[in-house]
Amino acid sequence: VPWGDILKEYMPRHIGSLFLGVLTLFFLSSGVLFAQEATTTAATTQETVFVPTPTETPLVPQTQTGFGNYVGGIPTTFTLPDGTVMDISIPKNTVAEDSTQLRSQPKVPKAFDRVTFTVENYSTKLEEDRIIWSVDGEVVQDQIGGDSIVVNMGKVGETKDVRVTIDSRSLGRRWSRDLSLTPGDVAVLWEANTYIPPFYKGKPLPSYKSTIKLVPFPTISVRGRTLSPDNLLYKWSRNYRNIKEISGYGKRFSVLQTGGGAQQERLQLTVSDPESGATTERAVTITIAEPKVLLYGGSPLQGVRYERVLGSELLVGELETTVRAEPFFFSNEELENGSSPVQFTQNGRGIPSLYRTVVLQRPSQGGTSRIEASIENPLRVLQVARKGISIKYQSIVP
Amino acid sequence: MDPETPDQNKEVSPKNKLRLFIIVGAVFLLLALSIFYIVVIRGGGSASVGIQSLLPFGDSAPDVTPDGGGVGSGKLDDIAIDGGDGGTPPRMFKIADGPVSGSVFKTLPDGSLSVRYVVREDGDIHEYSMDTRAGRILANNTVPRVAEAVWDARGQSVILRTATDRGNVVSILGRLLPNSATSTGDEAPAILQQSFLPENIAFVVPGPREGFIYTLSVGSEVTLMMLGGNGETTPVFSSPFTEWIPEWPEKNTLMLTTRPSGVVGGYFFSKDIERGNVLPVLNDVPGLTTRGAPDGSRVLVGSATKGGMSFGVITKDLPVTSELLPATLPEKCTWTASSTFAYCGVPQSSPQGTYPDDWYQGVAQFSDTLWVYRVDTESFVLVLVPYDEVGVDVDIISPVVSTDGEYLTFINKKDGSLWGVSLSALSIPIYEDD
Repeated sequence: VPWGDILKEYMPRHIGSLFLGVLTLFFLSSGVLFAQEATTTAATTQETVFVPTPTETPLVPQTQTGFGNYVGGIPTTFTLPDGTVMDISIPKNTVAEDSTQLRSQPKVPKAFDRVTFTVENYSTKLEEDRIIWSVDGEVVQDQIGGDSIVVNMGKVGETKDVRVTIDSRSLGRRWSRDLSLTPGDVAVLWEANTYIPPFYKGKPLPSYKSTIKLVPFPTISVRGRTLSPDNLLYKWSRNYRNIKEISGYGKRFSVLQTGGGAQQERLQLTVSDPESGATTERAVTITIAEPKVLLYGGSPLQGVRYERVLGSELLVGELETTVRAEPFFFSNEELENGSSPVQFTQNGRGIPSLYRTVVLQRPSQGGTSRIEASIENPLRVLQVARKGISIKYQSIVP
Repeated sequence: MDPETPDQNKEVSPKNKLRLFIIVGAVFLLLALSIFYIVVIRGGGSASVGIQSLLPFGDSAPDVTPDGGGVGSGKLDDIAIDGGDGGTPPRMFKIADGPVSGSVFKTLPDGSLSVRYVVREDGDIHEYSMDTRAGRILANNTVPRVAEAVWDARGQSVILRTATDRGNVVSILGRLLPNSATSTGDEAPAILQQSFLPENIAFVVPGPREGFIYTLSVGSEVTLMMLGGNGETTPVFSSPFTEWIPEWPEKNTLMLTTRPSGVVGGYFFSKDIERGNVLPVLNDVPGLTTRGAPDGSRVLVGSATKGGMSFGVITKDLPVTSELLPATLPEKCTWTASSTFAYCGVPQSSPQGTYPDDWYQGVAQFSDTLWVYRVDTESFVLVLVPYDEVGVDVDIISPVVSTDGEYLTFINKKDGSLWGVSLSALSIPIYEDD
């Protein structure tokens, strides 16, 4: 094909059309690229919502059909050969809107927290702009330069939808930003494997080198859906050091031993949803208790009277009285396997007991004695306690 | 003869006769009115709270103020403890020397009100009529050393709880059935049909209408089991955390509070039984204890302060505690069926300590007065000083109020005795909102 001849013959006549065609193709391809970029941005910033207000100037400039509609020097609409009008306009305030930041403090609020919402933008003069805040669809603040509000969060799981609308005086435009927050929380529940007497309603406290079970109880909601605790990531730190051994994905509970000698353990838990990034945290301080022994009275018929601890002296008028020694906060492991029994002495000499109980029989002539109960855990040496009581037997001889 | 002494032999004139007749008649009329007031009004209707304050010769309750300034005042010297002098029936009276393990009100088929209670020593069930103020044995048992007896709301079933020497807790479900041998001379008109529940149940609480909920430890987990009136058990909640104290104040609401200690932050969750979701209500509150209202609208909340305790109320919609003074422990309180009042034993003073630990351990004991929390006025006012009434110091536990709001019973923790209070005889102050 004699391309050279063809060019020589037709180029001078159609050079204008050819140039126009190349230019059209260039702008068409540029337009497609811009459109793709805009779509990607909207998808990644889910909180961004552009809200055209019917009574105000729409965000997208009015375009005119026909070739060569320019906004800011860039052609925005093209009329294709088949008559279709294609709009590739870029709102001139995209930069201003994209740079709008709506933030909350704290980022992940807990139930009934007071949360401060602040809007920032460096492309417009916020101090001169009308800023409208609404919470759950209701306008709560509408003032010039009002760039922050305080919102009281509700219960865990109750979402607050906050919208800020900026009416920019300098740009002559209006746009909005949304942020939805759902209070989350995590209860750091823990239980020490230590002994308490039957029917004792209080909490068994940890003592020296006790075993503690940690059970996080998270309540995190994302877009109205409560997340399963099995699908969350748990990160523990102990006395400001991360502990990988008990951290992990879906770890519903963990076990650790309290340190030797430390009076307190500070534990911090961060729970997060790897998918949405929602996070909450809580710190607890666990105080190490002193184990102790308390003495309770009773009778073979009534059983042990846990309602009142025996004082330093007991007057025995009945023929038979029982004294039961109850250890508090000793490790269950050694109590259960019998390696840390309660031992009784009477006036310094060991006396037999059964199930931590001694039976005192009143001598006919009366008298006094001193009973002492002691317990020590051979495996956790600081788990040790002792309690004594003076017994006064009433004389039955008149 | 003393000139002022009337002449005994002097003849009485017809005019004087008429005067005498009028005076005697007036005395009789006053006497009749007094009897009518005592028998019909004082002994009767639930509306008497309002009426008594209007009657000139009515209640002589302590004149109290909301800040507790009335403590110690209002001693009723003219009221005998046993009411046997024919005067005003006592406002507070002993039902049983005890020790008693638990009680419940029961409306009998004839409409009369009685209290059923379990004797700690042998597990016998007694019934005490609030109308006649007389008791009888209802069912003989052979369950010794019953440390805790939890009745269902209907007063027909009871869970008897005792500890073995080794310290294991045994729970026995008992159902009261008519005793067919009664007609042949057996004293007890009912028998208690018994069945064993699993061992080591940590907590049992009654349901709002019938049945119970108890905590059952299996392995390293705990399951809350609902025990229906028909004896069927249904698991309602399981958790690797085992230290839950349940409350079941309202049909669809289960309250879950962690075992308390004054040195540990406690948590309170609410579980919707139908929907199944568990939501935190209060977080990280030292010494947290709770007592929910039967309609689920409010919860009395206790917490520990440095060396003492604090007390307040939260509502369903706003779990921010409104403090009530003076402080007490919510388990010393009981709500009326209508959830409009809560009666509380309130310590006159509490020694420095860690609460509720010290009280649970028996290290601390209280001398209580009786107060009422009114929902309508949100006031907390003193209504009775037990020591002034009966000369006994009481440390109130297991308070129960009758469905009609007429009576309150409680156990004195100091000696296990069971006491009754006639609430309709109390003058409950009403404070209008300013």
